[in-house]
Amino acid sequence: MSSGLKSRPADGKLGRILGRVGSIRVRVNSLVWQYLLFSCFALVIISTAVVLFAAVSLSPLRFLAAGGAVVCIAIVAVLYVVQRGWRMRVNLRQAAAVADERANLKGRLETIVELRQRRNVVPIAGEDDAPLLLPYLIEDTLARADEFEPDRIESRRISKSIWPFLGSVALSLLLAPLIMRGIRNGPPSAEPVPSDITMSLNELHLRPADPGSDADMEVQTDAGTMRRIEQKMAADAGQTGQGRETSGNMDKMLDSAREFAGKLQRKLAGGEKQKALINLKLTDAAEDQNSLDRPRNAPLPDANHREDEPARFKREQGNQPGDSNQLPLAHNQESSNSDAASADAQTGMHPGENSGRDSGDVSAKDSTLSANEQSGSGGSSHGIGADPDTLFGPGGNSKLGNQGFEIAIEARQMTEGARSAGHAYLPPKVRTPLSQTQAPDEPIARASIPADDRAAIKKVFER
Amino acid sequence: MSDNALEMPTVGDFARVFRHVQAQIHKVIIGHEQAIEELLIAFFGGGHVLIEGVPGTGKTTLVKTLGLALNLSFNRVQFTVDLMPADITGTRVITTGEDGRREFTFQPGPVFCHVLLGDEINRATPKTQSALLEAMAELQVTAGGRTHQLKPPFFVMATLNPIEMEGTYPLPEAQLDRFLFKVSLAYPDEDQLVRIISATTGPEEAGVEPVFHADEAAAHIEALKRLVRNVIAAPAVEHYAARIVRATQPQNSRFVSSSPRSVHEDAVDRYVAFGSSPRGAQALILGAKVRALLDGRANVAREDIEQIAQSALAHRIMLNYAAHSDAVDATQVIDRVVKSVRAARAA
Repeated sequence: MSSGLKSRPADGKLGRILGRVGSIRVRVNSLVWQYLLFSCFALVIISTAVVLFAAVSLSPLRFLAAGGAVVCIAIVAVLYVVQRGWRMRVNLRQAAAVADERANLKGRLETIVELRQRRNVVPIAGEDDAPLLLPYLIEDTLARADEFEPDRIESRRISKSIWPFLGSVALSLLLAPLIMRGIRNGPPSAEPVPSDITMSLNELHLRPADPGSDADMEVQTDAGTMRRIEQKMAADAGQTGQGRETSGNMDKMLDSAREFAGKLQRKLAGGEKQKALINLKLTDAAEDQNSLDRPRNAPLPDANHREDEPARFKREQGNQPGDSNQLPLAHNQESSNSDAASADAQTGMHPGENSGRDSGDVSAKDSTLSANEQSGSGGSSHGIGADPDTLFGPGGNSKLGNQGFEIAIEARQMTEGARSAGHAYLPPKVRTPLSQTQAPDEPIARASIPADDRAAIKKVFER
Repeated sequence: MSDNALEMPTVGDFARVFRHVQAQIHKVIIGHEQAIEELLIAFFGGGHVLIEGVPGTGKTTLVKTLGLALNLSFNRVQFTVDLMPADITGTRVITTGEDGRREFTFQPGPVFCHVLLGDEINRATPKTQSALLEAMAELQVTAGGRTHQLKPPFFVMATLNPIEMEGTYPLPEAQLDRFLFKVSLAYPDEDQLVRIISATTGPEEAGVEPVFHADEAAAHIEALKRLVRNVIAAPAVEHYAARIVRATQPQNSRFVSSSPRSVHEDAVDRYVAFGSSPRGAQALILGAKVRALLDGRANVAREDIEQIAQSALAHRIMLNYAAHSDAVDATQVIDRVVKSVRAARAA
């Protein structure tokens, strides 16, 4: 029998094998890094697109839920991808094992690499204590060099994970027009809110503003109207007070969530610049049948009609002083009385005052003033006298509280907050008794104006 | 490289001799291809074989043919209840010398040969069975206070009859563990049976040509066995074999130490009372080395170990009553173990 083991392979042969295994390792690791990058980018891109799309198309709470879920899923997926990619990395021995498996080399490469690493010397074939069959193994392996070329072991240079990446980019491009349109339009609202709204005070559902609302609301009106609004708020609060006490914590949490989601949504969708001021005109009379009979959720009048509202209101204001008591009460008077009574009990007011005002003055005319007019005439003008045409009207005919009034509320469109929810935040009630020395509001008798001064006064008001 | 390497056959020589011997055996033995290959693997791996088969399946003929093909000395011992250890190992007898003086001299028993067939070894008493232990493990026999070396190669093939268990003595675990492989001989199928009929009932008997000359047979075989030992098993492959052996050991056994890298197989915990000993790992590697040489390789692959696992480990694990109750045998457990270790490696 011939030996054939006497000749030892040159060091270059072992080096060629190890070099080829190194090339396989580089290629496999390159694919692993591509997998990591492409997969992570794909996840980030698709999750960002979905979050942006949700920001411009969903309400705050839904955006918070959907966005949170998407972000959580994306984080978990990225962690999974990183962990998987980290495990897919191969060292030299693992690369040899991969080559053995794919080229069906039955562990030849892995054995050579392991022997080299164990001895930490490259020319192990030349050592005296080298395994006797190692030269044969090297020759045998080198004879199969064609079978473990890097191109045959791993033919791909680009990872297959590029397809999910390209898919995510394509999907993002598809969503981009929708997102851009949403950014231009701002965050979604339940319905378009007109800038000028005229509503009856009895029709108005009042509640305090949400703590998360950053709209600077300002109500300017006379003291009597403010009392009327407070009474109505107290009455509304009394109806739903019990439920709110039990769900107060949940409301706070929901409000906080809405606040956070709304801010985030505005940042993402650029909603800050889309806010519009709303002029809310309140009337406390039911004579405007069109507005009173309109359901609360009915569509609001169109813009042209709204533009005519102040003029119409002025016209009605000029015609109605004498007819105010004849206007029918649109709302159920009994319910109004009961609401008012409960409100009195809460606010500490005398029932007599309130009931007298409510029962006797419910037929009061509505009067509207624009915000500018309101600021010019002040809260004590009582309607008559502010207009130069009626500056010298008959004194003593007007009754305080029976006059129509208009308050202008500077408000912003709200897409977050408790408007769409069933529960609203109510601040704690503070009951402040009236001062003992405070006299009830009474109309001041109009004094007669000397004829010499009338021209000068009229000139001032006309200015 | 040492001088022994000059006399060492090549990988190609080994495969050629192996196939030649295999072909000679198949001249006489019809079928049983896998059993014969495992028998030769164990022989060149330096181990002993326990052959289990029903009567008439050619156990004795197989062993006899192997001895003839390798041109090695062959002895056969029929184990019976009244067989004594000295009947196997030999004994001191009084002999008369040339000068007329009488003295005790050692009369070697049938164990002094190259290939020993212990037929129906489970019919002898444990005392007699254990007489083979020293010879199998250490290639020596102690009789009359003197130790006698056996000439290599020494190969023991013991047969077990799985039926007629009355009056038998099951081999102790220690003795079972000393057999490298346990080979099962099943009934031949119809085609094989027809060939057996044709070959054994005709006027001519099939002849076996020895592969080696009688003078150099032992040396050649020893050289081939050295070549087997020189096959390279990478550390990762050795770990693989060790992991398989450890996976056969039940977790709940107090003899098993915990290891974070160990593979747990539920079937082992449920059905195995005692797992394989370290000899099982040796058997795996030795058998895998022979398989690698047969494949023309100088290195052991994991596939070699998986192919040899059944023969090397099945007789080394002791099943519990649950296994007997559920009709689970050792081969099924080994299958599950190999699959679990393979899956753990892939993960």
